[in-house]
Amino acid sequence: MRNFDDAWRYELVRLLELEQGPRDDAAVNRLAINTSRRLDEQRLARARLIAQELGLDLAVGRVKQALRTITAVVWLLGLVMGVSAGLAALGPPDRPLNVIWALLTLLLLPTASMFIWGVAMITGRSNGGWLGHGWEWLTTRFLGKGDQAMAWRAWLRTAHSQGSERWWVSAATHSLWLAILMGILLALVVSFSLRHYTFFWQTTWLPTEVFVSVAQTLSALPATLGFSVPDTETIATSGNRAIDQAEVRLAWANWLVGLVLIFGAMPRLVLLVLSAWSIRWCAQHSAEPADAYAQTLNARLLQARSVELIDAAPGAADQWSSQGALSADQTLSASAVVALETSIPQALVAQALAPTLPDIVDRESRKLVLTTLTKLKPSRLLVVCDANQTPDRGLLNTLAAIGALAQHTRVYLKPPHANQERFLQWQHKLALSLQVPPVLTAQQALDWLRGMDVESKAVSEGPR
Amino acid sequence: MNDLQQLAQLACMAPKPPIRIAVVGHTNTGKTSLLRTLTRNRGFGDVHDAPGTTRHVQGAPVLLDDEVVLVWYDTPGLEDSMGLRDAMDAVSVTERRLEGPDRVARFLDDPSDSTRFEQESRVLKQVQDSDAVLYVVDVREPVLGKHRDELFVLQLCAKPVVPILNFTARDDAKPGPWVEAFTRHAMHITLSFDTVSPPVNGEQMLYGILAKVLGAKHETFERLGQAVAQQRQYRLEAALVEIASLCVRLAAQQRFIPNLEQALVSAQHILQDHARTLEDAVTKQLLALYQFGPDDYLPKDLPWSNGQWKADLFSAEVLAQAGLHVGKGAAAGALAGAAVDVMTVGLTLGAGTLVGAALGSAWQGIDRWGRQWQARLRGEREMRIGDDVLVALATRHLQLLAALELRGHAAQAPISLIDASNPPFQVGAFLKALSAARAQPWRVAAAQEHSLREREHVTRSLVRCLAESPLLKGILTDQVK
Repeated sequence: MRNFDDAWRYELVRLLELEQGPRDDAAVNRLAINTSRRLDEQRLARARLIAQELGLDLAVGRVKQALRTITAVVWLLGLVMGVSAGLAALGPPDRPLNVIWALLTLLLLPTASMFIWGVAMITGRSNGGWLGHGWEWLTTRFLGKGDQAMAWRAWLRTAHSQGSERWWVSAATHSLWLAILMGILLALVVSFSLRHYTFFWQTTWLPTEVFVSVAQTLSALPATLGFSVPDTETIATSGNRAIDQAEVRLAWANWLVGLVLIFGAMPRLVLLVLSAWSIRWCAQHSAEPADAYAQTLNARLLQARSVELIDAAPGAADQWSSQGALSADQTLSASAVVALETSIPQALVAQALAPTLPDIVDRESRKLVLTTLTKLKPSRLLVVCDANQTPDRGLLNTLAAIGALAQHTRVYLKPPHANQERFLQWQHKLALSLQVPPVLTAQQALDWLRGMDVESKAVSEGPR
Repeated sequence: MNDLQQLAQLACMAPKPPIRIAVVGHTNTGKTSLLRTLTRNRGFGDVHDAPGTTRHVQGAPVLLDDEVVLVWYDTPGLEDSMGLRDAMDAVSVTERRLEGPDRVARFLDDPSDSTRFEQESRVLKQVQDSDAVLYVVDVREPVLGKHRDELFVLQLCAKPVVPILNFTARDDAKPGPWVEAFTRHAMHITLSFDTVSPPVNGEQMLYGILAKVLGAKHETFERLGQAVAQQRQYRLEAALVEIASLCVRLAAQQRFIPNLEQALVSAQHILQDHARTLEDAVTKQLLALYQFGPDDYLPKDLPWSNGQWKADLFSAEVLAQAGLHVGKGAAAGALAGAAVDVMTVGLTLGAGTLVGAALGSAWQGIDRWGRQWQARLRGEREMRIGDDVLVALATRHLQLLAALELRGHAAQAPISLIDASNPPFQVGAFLKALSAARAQPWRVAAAQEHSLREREHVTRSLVRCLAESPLLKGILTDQVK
């Protein structure tokens, strides 16, 4: 899958087709085939085309809009929460600010929740937790019914099948926290700009060195990133009472802002980017769907291109020009019997009135029969055929060839005539080539050989 | 120099021309049927029990990694091989010492017989353009002179010929004389391939034989064989997932109904209709997965859209059979979709709620738990689909699956599952796997997407149970792993 949106549309069309039956649109399938050589891309293209055709893009757009709106609202709420948390942590400006206490208030909860998130991701238990479910629930309520609801279901399924479900939830979580932390930072920056704060730290039994080292360790990273931090002396002298000096105040304010930015907002930003990147990675590397729907589509797309006629329309191969027959004065004998690709039944052999010719089974016997018939020149020639064989063109050609060597030719179709359709084909083909109906019983065949006229059933309408 | 290298690179990158295999034979022996079965395409060509049904040469490409590596060519039937052989002989008389292929080429160039042998010429042209030939015969027919003439003419073309014995599964099949005739024409490798009920791994066997006959291309044929086996596996897995998720969805159906007779009856009908609709959809999906259609399963005179089953899922006979094995299965027949008192089920649901909460999904758990209590207070009853129904459903679909695995795409008579025998799986394990869906219906209910993971979990365990079925084991014994 190339990108999330394509996969999403594919899933949406899949849900639609499962619900309303497959859309067997040959035109769309052909268009899809032409987009790419690869089957997976053809499937995506097909979904894109169908979504366009049915106006599903609108539903997709609405879901995106809803997601954006919810995100914006959550951001706004987060920002407000952050500002109020920041203001609460700073307290009124007339009281000196306990920097360690303020730092704990501002960073403890975000950091702890980040660790919980990390543990959940590592153990793989998380599929979103409360926040994720709340977010889903909210969106479901927001989107109601109809195409949008289906588009939203498709969105959820796509995220699930690509394994990016938890990354989406992560992105939501981190962006909320980022909003809160930005709110805090906003509160800090505005407060420090427009109000007069003094800073100190307090202890009852810890030595000063502890605070110096803690403050310096924490500010090591911000310092390397260019934030001005309080020096050792400033830290040491800020113990238990606030110093109202411009540089000291500036140093502490910078220290606080730097720490919230570096240890609060930055990790969230990095994780947000990581989540976004993971979502994209999942979309690009998700496994080919091998479910029944995908396999059925593959087959349909393959079949759509497999019809390939490679030669011209057939000509009139099934036409027999009348080869003619002997006239009465040319005949030399009364009658003859020959079997074509079968044998003469006992009933006929026993009462052999006519000379029986060898059975025609191959080219040699055919040649022999043709030469013999040229000598015999019978008035009546009975050809025995097996009604269960296919009346092919070769057989009919032979029939025409030997028929030309007698005055009258009739075909006796050996029973059983079990296959009715095959029997009709024989009648049809005989009417085309010999223009006479077949003889159906041994008695009729004998009667005909003896010179009687046989009333055969009229040829009924041939098949096809 | 650079240009030369580029050229060489281009030559390597350009797709190799596909292998071409012509399917030839006497008329009405099932050439198009063979291709239907090989390509799993019921719509390929025109199949009819009559001579000369196929009048065109028609190609069917086979893909491997999205690349056409093989094309099957369906050809019109050879009908007048005796005449054809005479004509060939005439060519060799006028010009002596011509080798087979040259003689065929000379014949094709000669326009004098073009009307009479129009079809045969098409076939011969295609054979000339192909790498190998599959020669299809109907083993119910005797070996005749015309067939020998066909073999003679094919041998003139000097292409490898693999005889395919069609209709070997019929009672009146007589393959012996055919094999003997092929041996006399130095064709020692034949393949029995009934196009209506083909051998389970027939396609693989065919590729195996072609790999031997066309040694230079054996690698492609081996890869094709592997791909076929893999597709079979994928297909079977997807089918089992469909069946399992149907069972899971139905098992998770749960309704709360006021304890009034009228309400219970109408709710029961609604639930049954819902189950039938879902079953219909899955049946169609299975048929489509195996590239069959609704008319392959139901008798044509029964309208599919009405969901009229020959044996309705909720009919007394179907349930009685399954009910025997479920043991104390809920009321068979009349009140299928058994209504269970909410008090008894409430207990299990309570436990399920706790588990749900522990797993971090208490959100829905509490929601449901509240509804349980509400129902209990209101004196409502809970309605579910009975175990016997689910067992019957799985049995029927596994049987359908087995029939589809064995069915050729040339088959025209619909499948009928008259044999509703014992469930072909471990009923105990089946119900146990479903119990998760039973205990926590809200976690697997269809409408809720945030329970996808739970539903998948239950479905997977059910698939494992169904895959153990001896019915499928029997089919897949010769399956290449």
